[in-house]
Amino acid sequence: SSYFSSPSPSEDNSHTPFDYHNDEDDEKPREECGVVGIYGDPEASRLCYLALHALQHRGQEGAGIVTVSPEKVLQTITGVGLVSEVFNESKLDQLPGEFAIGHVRYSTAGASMLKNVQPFVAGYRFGSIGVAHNGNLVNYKTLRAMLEENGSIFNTSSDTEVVLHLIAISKARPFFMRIIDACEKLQGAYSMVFVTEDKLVAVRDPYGFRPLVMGRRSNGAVVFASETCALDLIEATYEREVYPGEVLVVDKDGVKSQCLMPKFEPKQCIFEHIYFSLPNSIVFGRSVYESRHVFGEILATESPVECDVVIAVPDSGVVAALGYAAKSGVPFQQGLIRSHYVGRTFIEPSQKIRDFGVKLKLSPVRGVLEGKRVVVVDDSIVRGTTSSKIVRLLREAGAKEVHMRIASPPIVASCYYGVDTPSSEELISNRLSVEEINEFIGSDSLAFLSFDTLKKHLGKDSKSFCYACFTGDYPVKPTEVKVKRGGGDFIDDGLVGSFENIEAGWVR
Amino acid sequence: AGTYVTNVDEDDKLHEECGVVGIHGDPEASRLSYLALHALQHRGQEGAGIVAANQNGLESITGVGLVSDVFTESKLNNLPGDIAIGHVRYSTSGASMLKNVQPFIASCKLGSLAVAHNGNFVNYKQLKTKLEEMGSIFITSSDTELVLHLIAKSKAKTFLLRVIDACEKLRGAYSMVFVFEDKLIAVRDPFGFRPLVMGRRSNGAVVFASETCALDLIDATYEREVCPGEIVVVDRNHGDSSMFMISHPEQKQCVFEHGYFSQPNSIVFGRSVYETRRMYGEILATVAPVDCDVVIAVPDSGTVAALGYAAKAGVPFQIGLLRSHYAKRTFIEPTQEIRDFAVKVKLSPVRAVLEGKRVVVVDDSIVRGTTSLKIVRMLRDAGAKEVHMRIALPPMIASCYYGVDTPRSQELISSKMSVEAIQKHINCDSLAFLPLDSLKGVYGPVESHRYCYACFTGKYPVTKTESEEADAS
Repeated sequence: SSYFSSPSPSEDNSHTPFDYHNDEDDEKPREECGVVGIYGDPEASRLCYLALHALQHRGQEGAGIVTVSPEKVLQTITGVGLVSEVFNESKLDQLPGEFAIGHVRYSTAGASMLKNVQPFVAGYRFGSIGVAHNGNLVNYKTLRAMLEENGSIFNTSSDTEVVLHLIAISKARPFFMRIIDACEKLQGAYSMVFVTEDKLVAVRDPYGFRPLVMGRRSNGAVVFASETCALDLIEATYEREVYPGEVLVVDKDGVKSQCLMPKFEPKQCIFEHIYFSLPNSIVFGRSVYESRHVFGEILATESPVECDVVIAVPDSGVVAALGYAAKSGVPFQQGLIRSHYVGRTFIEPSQKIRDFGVKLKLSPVRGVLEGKRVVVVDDSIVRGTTSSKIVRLLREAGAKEVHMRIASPPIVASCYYGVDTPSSEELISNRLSVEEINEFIGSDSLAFLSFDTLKKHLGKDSKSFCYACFTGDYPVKPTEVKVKRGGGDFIDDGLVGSFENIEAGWVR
Repeated sequence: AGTYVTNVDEDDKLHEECGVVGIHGDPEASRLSYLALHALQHRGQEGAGIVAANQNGLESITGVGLVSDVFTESKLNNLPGDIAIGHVRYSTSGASMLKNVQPFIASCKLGSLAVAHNGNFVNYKQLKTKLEEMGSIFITSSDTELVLHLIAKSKAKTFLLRVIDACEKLRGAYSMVFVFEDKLIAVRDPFGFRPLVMGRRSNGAVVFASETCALDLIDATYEREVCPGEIVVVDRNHGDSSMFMISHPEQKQCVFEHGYFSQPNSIVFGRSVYETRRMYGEILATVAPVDCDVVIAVPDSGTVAALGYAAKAGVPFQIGLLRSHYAKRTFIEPTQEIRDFAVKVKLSPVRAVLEGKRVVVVDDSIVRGTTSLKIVRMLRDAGAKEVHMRIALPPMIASCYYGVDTPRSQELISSKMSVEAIQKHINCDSLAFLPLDSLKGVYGPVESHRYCYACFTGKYPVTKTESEEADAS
């Protein structure tokens, strides 16, 4: 995934009148990848495609699959767009073989999209290797500089590429030791799958920031995936998590496990439970659905309010809203309906329709809202712009009161481990108090899940999670602080785009 | 064996066959039509089109696919004018797709006109035969084309009178919008089978649409329904005026618009779809209670009824089935069968909600029963101890000829099996449908007479003569 994960255009960035960017890009943290690996199934690429489809919520902008053909050649197909857009039957027929890795990606990059779509494949002196990565390497620039100093050349602006170089220059033997050698130089987040001519390897960073699970099909094939929902679709039984710091090597001799050194206390991403993963997944050994339901229940206990109905910002806020409603004894209703046909960009009328971006995606149900005191549950607030539009939408649909409840603590700091977040200064909770945010978004009251209660709920596991976005305390210190800028990856790719963007990008 | 493509969407659900839009008096009529069509995308995903009226006459852009696939900014820039009509379409036909995408345009001696239609003409074949004998030729296999011929052949003096003349020959379902010169005309059949509403923007522009959700998106205030049998004419000089066809039979509005087709946030036939659907669920809980631990829905259309059921039963509602929002209509399937693949690619069970529980699963309808069977199996595989299926509409025993793409009557599972036999077939622990009398009870003794129940009773308000051959629009 890209080291320079780019926030989408900021509020003051002008855009052409007829090119509306999907409002969701501005307002939600964004997972940046999903990965899949399959070993020992004659239809590995086809199953990989289906598993990637099940992980589409983790990335919608690019997809790719690498297989090892019976002649031991690594073959790749990648493309821009959804899994179902990138692959068709004839393309999958070009990917025979019993093992495969795959990747789905989200990126705000435009022109440089295709070359950054994984999996990446490289040839080196001992053969070929493919890699797919979910996470972010915080020491990417340092490593890249060192590698270039020693003669390596880079084809992408993706941090993942450094892994291939590190493996190539490693002196270690045998192959899996090269991977270990390379990984022990990496800092940051990585859940990765590798494929060589005869092996599938899965690696998870010592902190375990991003999820990675292992499953098995009834024919014995081994499957790795970011989430269990991918295993479910292809009838692989969930076996266990890949442990933080674990390296699993699968070949004809079976599965072998090794550990990276040094050991660290795990720091798994709590947002996987709050927002990113699908509710039907088991992530970090816990049901995502149960976590969200409990977050909602806790919120109802901590921040009750007199109300007539509880609704959700769909889809990710629904489970917490059900928890809130159940605990408070107030009915849950579907007060906001989500459109499932909105593409990422949409043509907008030149006469402004107020709150157009939100209206395009969310429709209020007047029958649920009119004259009611409404609690609306969402999973998070990032910049606050969408929340204020939602509150307005609800009031215009007749709500008497709008009480916003957020099923996660305030996000005060940016993420450097594989989540595309705005810079810290753009986060509304970084700048304003809860009372001030309440005033800004125009709600009658606002409450967040308290950080201490979240940790208390996690119990003995609480030390195994990363809370950097709520505290600003980073388990791995970021070496490059994100800054607010005009958008795009042009700093990485050279001068692309308008002069205005260039200027905006360089001013710090 | 080679791979094959599964049509996952067509399997076991009914489909509305169209949405229509008309806008008069807005300088951005085509752009607003595009947005309104987007809001009606749930009514048809296979084709979309817009016609705009300007000084060059009528200009049209149509295409196969979603609204956002068919239109781009540059295409909309090719449709200037302050009057526009639009259409979204669902169809099972493949090769003939594009030519059947509306709106249709024709020239006749009075000038050019365009039409977009939601519904189905049951006397299409008869009228087509008669028209062909009189020298008309048909370019499409759509019944809507008929209207254009009838208008062209009419002896009446003005366009409006020709429209009336044409409509009075038509039998079946039609909610239509026409554009002719500087006029926008909206027509709804005397039975009112399909919905059509009227709204207005703050700049005075008049908007017609199949559902109020289209008005909402483009900031048009819902004004009223177009009444069954009503013809509304909007023009620059006289504003809007209304007249009625002579024949004024009892209304027969499609109850499935409330049960399944329309968006929950729409007002259809003057009623909130959400509130109506929730009442179906509540009544179902009263007439068919069962001991259970959790109530879930088959998403998305079963959700509101499930909320009603859960509230009345006093049992928690949970999200037991997740719907994938990325599943396309066709999907590449592995050659090794993954059991129930077509359902699995669209729906995922949430084991945390289901494991060890007695589950009530609420759906809006059962058509062939194939999907229900797979859903029950999926829920059991995810650990449900019991699966009780509750259907928030009566058993469907007869096909529809008024604009709903339904399998033939003999393919409908309820036309050949009792409730007990269906229960055994889909392997649930119990099965119940909303009784027809209870459905009528939702509307009350007066209003209930204004709905069509043909699919539940086999009694058709308009005789079905040779209508199966029409390609309904």
